[in-house]
Amino acid sequence: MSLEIRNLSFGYSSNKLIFEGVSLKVEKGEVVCLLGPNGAGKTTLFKTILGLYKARQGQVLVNGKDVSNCSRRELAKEMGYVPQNHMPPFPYSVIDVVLMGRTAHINNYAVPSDLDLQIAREAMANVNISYLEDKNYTEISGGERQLVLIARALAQQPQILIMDEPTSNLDYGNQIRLLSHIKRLAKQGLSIVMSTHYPDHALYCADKAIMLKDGHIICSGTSEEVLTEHNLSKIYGIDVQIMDTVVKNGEQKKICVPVVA
Amino acid sequence: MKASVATIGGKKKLTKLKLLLLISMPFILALAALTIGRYPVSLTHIWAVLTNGFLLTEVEVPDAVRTVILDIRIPRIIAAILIGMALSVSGAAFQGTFRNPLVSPDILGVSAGAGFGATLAIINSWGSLGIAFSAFGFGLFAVWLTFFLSNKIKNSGEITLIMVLGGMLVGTIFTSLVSLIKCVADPYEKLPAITYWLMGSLSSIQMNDIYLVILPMLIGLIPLWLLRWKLNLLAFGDEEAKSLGVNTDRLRLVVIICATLLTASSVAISGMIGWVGLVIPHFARSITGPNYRSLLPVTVLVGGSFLLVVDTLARSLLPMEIPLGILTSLIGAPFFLYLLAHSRRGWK
Repeated sequence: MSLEIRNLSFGYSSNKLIFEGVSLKVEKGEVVCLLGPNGAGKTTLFKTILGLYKARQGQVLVNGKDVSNCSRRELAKEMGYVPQNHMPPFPYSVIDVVLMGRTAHINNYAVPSDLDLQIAREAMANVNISYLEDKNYTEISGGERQLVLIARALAQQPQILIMDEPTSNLDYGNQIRLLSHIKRLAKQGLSIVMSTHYPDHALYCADKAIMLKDGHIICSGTSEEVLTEHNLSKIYGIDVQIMDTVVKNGEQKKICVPVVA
Repeated sequence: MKASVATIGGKKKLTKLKLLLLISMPFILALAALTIGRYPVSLTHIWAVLTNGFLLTEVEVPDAVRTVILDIRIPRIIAAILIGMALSVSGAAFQGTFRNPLVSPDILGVSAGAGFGATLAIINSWGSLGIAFSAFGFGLFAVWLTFFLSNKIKNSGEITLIMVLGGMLVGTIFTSLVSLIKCVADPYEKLPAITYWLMGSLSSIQMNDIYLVILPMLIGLIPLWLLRWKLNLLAFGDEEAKSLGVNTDRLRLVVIICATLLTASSVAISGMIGWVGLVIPHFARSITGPNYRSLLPVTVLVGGSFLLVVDTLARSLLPMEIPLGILTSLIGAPFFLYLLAHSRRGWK
């Protein structure tokens, strides 16, 4: 498995690009964190990688194959997408939503089989939300919906998971739990590309980090190379300090603290 | 809850009893409808006619009764069930496709187009077959026009929204054309015919009408039935459905073609019948939940039964026949209000 992005650009019109010249390589089992201020083009970049928007320039290669030549079904088997939380117009039950992750594996005129149901249930168990199975998707909390969308992407059994701010709706405990989930999934061999607004999250779970500002990659590399005081101050416009600490269990950790008067 | 029973996934699975009741409902209602009417018909006579005298050889059925059963009531009952089914299914499919619970089958202008076609046929005295063909043809044409225009003007916006707007536009144009024709129509002969057609009725349905529409209806129904699980994905929006592996443009096109065939065939032989396509999917949803896997079959059963009941009322409630379209609106609108007030599961 490999995901390679070469010199990718996209804009709704050709004279105003949302992002430009983005290149990136993701290996098997790697977690790549994308950071950038609001409006930097993170979501648009993800949607272009997923082939939802047609790139103006450049290529997205999955296993060496250009995604613009792949069918939606082929792509869905390789890449799963966890969008930002939203509401469908009808109150589907949670298991129905997770089962939709099986779409790419189900024949056009078929309905999900018992095996699909089993895979969907395993995906839910994987993120500890089995208790939500019979609840209405529209009536659970935003954080729970986020986990349902992750379970749906897992049911899709992709090689690559693209997650758009997966921690944004979660409480503090669930944020950390989700990040551990992500680390564990990466250990299982899944490649993960996610965006986040929290430098600490990237420090905690990312192998690589990328900073995007105004549609350009400011810097990329290992998370420790990228998440520096200088870089964070530059993209967010506030003063921060990166500190080395030793946590209770003896682990060395870097944390990011804002410096405010 | 064992996995084998719960394959539908999701709560409130239909119990066997409920399912049996739903399936038998159209048949029981059809039998009841056969006996009801100004000309009383006994169950014995019905049995004798339907089975060609099986087990009841000694029963003598008067010719008038035979005619009432075979030539008047049976075609009408079949038509009511077919049309109720067709309108409800296309409404249900459109509500998911356009991600909006307030969508009805005419959202892309099919009824307005069919109305214009029928009006044109009436004013030119093309006969009842001509009316059906013209209505059917213009119904399809109106939807094609909507589709064509919205694909022309689509920019980065959501295509479904543009299509709804395009449908309104095309609908308005055809409705205005109908008004224009009514304005110049002969007020003693043509105008009443037009008005009556637009109100919708099954009073002149014959077996030939059913032979005419059964094929397009099946062509519309079967793909929707087979694709019913996939319809769920459209309700989650284009981008998500695509990322889950659906070619949304193609799926939506299939849904639109099928739903349009269903509605256009209905309108071609019955005239305008409102509210069925909006209300029944909601009612069915309150029974099964929003998953099309079970919603679509239940919509078929409930839709057919509903229109059969309303049509039977239309022909038996008053000494004169009440136009069906008026009655469906009179019953449908308050019923919809009731559903809104009492079902939280339906939509929100």
